[in-house]
Amino acid sequence: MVKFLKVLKASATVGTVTRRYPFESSLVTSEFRGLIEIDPVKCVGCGACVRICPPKALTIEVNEKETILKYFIGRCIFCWMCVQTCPQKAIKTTNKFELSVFNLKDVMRELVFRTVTCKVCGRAFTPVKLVVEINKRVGDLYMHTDIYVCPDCRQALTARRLLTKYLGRG
Amino acid sequence: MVKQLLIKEGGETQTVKVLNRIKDLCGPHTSIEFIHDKTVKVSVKSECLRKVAEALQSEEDVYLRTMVASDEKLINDSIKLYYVFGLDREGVNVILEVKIPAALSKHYEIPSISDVVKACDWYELEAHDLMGVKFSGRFLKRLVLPDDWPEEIHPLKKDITTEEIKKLYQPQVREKALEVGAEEVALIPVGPYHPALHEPEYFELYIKEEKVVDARYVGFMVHRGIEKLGESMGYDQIPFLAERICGICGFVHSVSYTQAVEEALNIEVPEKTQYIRTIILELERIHSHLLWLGIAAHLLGYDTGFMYAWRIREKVMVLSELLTGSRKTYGINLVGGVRKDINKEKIEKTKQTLKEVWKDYKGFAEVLLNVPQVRRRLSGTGVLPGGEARAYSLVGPTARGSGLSRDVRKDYTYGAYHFVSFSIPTYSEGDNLARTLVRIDEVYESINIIEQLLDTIPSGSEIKVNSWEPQPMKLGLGNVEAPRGEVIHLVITGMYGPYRWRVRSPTYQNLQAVPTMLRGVDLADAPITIASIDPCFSCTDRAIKINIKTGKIERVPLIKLSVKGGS
Amino acid sequence: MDTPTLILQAVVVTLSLLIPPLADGIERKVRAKIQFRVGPPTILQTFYDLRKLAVKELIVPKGAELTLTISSIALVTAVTATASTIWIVAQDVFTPANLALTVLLISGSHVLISLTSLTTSNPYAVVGSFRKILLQVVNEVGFFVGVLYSITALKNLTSDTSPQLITSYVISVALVVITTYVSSGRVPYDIHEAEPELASGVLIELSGPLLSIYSYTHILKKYLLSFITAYLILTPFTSLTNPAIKLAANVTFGLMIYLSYGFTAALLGRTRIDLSLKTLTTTTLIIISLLVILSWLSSY
Ligand code: SF4
Ligand code: SF4
Repeated sequence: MVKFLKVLKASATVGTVTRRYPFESSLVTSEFRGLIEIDPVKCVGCGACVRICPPKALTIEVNEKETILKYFIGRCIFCWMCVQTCPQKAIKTTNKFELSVFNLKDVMRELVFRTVTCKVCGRAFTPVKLVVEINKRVGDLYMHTDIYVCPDCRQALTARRLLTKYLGRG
Repeated sequence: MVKQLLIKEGGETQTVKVLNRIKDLCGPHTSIEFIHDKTVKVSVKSECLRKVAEALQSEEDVYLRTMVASDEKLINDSIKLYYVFGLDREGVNVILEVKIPAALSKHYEIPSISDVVKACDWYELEAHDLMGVKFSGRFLKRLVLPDDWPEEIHPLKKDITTEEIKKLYQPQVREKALEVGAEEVALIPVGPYHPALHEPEYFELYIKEEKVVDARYVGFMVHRGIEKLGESMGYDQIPFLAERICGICGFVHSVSYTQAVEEALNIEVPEKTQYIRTIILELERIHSHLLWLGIAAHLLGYDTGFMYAWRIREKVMVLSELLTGSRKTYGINLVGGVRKDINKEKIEKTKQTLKEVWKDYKGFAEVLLNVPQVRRRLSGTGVLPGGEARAYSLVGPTARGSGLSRDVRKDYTYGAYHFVSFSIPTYSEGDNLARTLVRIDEVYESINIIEQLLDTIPSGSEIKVNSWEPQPMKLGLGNVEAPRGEVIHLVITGMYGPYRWRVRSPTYQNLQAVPTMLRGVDLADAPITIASIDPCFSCTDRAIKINIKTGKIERVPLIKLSVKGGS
Repeated sequence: MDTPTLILQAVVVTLSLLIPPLADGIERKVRAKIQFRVGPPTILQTFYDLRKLAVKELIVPKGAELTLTISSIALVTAVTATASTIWIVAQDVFTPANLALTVLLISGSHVLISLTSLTTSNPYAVVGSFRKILLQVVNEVGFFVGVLYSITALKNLTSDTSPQLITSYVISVALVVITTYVSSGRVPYDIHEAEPELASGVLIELSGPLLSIYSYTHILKKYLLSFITAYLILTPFTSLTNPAIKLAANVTFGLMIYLSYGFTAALLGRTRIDLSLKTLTTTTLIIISLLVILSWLSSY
C-alpha cells in the first residue's frame, strides 16, 4: 500500500529534468525539420514549391511588373515538401523554430522577380529568371523567340505553324 | 475470391454465410463483388436495407465500422451510401452500397437503421446534415452544422465549393456577442479562472443530488470541414492535413489515409515502409497513453503522477523527433511510402531509449496504481457493461476495458503487425480502472512490438514506390488501431486527389456510449469517466440542472445540490 | 507585562506575518523537486506573486460588492488570531477567556474566508464554498476538541504522568494534526478548489488585489494552524522558559510542520467529497469518543 512512496526514489535518482529554455538550449535533435530559407540567387520563381506546399504557406503572385514568391512562415508546417520538389535546389533547410515576432510582417518573406510580358499579346506571364533558366537548360531545342510567348499564345502559334507546314499557308 | 475463402476455412466461413443470407433477403440477383482481398461490396436496395442490417447485427463479432455518404451525381447520377460492416473474425469488410437517384434525392427516404444498429445514429444525422440524405423512421436533427446554418445547403455536395460556402455562411459571432451584451460580460475577471478542461465539447449532466442521472452530448463545435477541404487537395498533400485531424495521434490518420489510397489503387508498398509506419504508430501509442495517464492522474488531483508520466513521455517525443524529424505531426507519410529511413544508428538509439522508458514506466505504473485515492476513485466508477459496449460498436481501450477483445491490429491486420507477436490486454470489469489498466498494459506491448520490429527490419533502402498512377472511382478502406481505438478512412479516388474522403475517428464511435457510463456516477467522477474513453481531451464545460418537471433550466439549485451532496 | 516581552511579541507577530509566504515558496520548491521540476525561480516567489496581484486594478465581480469587505475582515481576523495565539504561547496564559477568544478568532477567520467565495454570484464558487463549509463543520469540531484536550493534558502532564493521560495527549495531538491538515485545504482535501472536478473553485471570481488578500489570508491561516500544532507537539519535550527561545523554536518547528504537510500533499491524489466526509467524520468521532472514555477513566 505504501508503494506510492517510491515516487520519492524516482525523484531522488532522476532529479530535475526541466530545461530552463530559453536560457538553456532546447531539446531539438539533429533530425528536426525547421524553417526553410529560399536562396534568392538560385530560385527562379518556377512555382513548383507553391503547387506542392500542403498548407499553402508558399504563394506566388504574377503582375505586370513583377512575380512575387511569398513565404508566410506562420502557415508553414515545416514539412520540407518544397525542399524535395525544388528543381533548382534553391531551398535551404534549417532547424530554427522560434517564430514569435512583434510584427506580422516579420513572418513574411518575399522574393521579387521581374516579369516577362508575352511578345504576342503583351500579357505578363512569367519571371524573367525562369525564362533564362529554361533557355539555359533546353538551349537550342526551343525556338529562341517562343520562350517569350505566353502558353495561350504559344498554343495558337504552334497551331498556326503546323497549319503552315502541312497546308502550305497560314 | 468467395471460393478462396470457402476453401481456407474448410467449411462455411462467416463471410460466405453472411453473403448467402444477404442473397436470401434481397434476391438472387444482388450484385456481390470482391473489390479487394478482404473487401466485398454488395448493392442493396433501400427496401431491404433494414433486413440486411438486422441480419448483420445479429451475427456475432460483426459491427458497423463506418458509414459514408458520397455525392456521385456527376459520375453515375446518384448519391450513394456505403455502410461498412466488419466481420472481426475473418477480417472481412462488407460494404453495403445503397443508391439514391440524384433526381429524386430531395424526397427519397432511406429507412433508418439506427434502432437496429445503435452506432448508426450519428452517421445518419451527419449524412443528413452534410449531404441532405433523408432517413425515414427516425427523428432527424442537426448534429454537425450550427443551428443558424442555412437550410438546404449541404456542404459536402459536389455542387458547392468551399469558396461559396465561405461566402454563404459566416458565423455571427460578433453580432451574437453584441446581442448578449458581451462587452459587459467581458468585465468579469478572467484572472484565476481556468475554464475547467480543454476542448469545446459540451455535456449536459442531469444531476440529482450529487449523482448524475443522465447526460447529453452536444458536439461538433469544431467541425472544420476537413473532408471537404481534402477533396480540393492533391494526393500527397492530404497526409499532412490528415495528420492534423488529431493533435495527439495524427499519424494514425495519415497512415489510414495512405492505406486507403493504396488499397484503392492496388499500390504495393515496400516492406520497409510497412515496418517504419508500424514502428512510428506504436511510438505514437506510447506517447499518447502516457499523455492520457498523466491527464487522468491530474483529474484525480495527483499532479505528481501527471508530471511523472509526462517526464517519461518527453523521452518518447524526442525519440519520435529523431526518427521522423518532428515531435508531433511527423510528416513522413506519402501515398506509396515514407520519406524518412531508419538506419542502424537510429535503431540502436531507439532500442536504448525504449529500455530506459520501460524501466521508468514500470516504476510509474506501480506508483500510480498504488496511490490510495487514485485506485479508489478509478475502481467501480463509470461502468460500461460488455453488452452495451457491443451494442454501441465500441472500439479501442474502451471496448477492451469491457471485455471485448476488439483490435484492428489483429482483426484487420495492416502494416507490419503480422511479423510480430503481441497480446491484446483485455479486462472485463468495464470501469474506469479497467480502461486505465488496458492502457497501462498496452504501453508494454507497444515497446515489445517496436523491439521485435527493430530486430527484423529489412536493411534495404527502399522506402517508397517509384511511381503510381491514379485511377478514378476506385474505393479503398484503410484502418489503424489508434491509441483511442480504431480509425477508419474510406477513399473514393479521383484524378488529382480523392473524390470522396471519409474519416471516422474512434471518439465518434465511443462518445455515444459516454451517457451510459455517466449514469449513476458522482458528479466529481464525471470528468474522469468522460476522459476514460480518452476523447481527444474533450471534457465538460459546465453542469446545468434541469428541472425535469418544468423543463426549466435552473442555475441556483447547484447550491442546494452541493449542500445535499455530502449529507 | 514588561516592555521587552511586548517588543519580542511584536517582532514575532511581524515575522509570523512574513513567514507564511516564504513557507509557501519553499513548499512550492519542494513539490517541484518531487515532481522533477525546477519550480519557481526563488523561494520568494509567493511574495512576488502576492505583490503583483495586489497592485493590479481592483475588479469586484458583479453582484459581489460584499466580497471585498468580507475578505478584508477575514484578513484582519486572521492577523489578530495569529497575534493572539502568539501572545498566549509566549505568556503561557491559558485562561478560559483567552482560549475562548482565540478559538473565536480562528474559527471566525475560517468562516469569513469561506464567506468570501459565497458572496460572489458564481455558482461554481458557491458550490466550492459549500463543499468547503461541509468539511469545515466536521473539521472545526475535531480541531477544537483536539486542541482543548491536548492543552488540558499538557497542563496536567507536569504533575501527573499516568498512561491514560499520555495516551489522551497523543490521541488528541493526532486529532489536531489530522484536522489542521484537512483545514489547510491540501490534497486530498482540496475539494473546494478542484476545478477539474466540475462545479467548484472558490477562487473563480477573484482576481487582482482581491485574490491577493484571499491567498494571503489562506496561507496565513495554514501557517497559524501549523504553529499551533507545533506548540502542542513541542511543549512536553522541551522545558524552555525564555520566551524568545521558546517562540523561535516554535516558529521553526511550525515551519517544518507546514512543509511536511506540503510534502505529504505532493504524494496523494484528491478524494471525493462524500468519501472525505465519511472518513473524516468517522475518524473524528472515534478519536473524540476515545478521548472522552480516557478522561472518564482517569477521573477515577
Ligand atoms: S521550386 Fe525552387 S526555384 Fe521554383 S519557385 Fe520554388 S524555390 Fe524557386
Ligand atoms: S516546409 Fe512545407 S509548409 Fe513550409 S513552405 Fe515548404 S512545403 Fe510549405
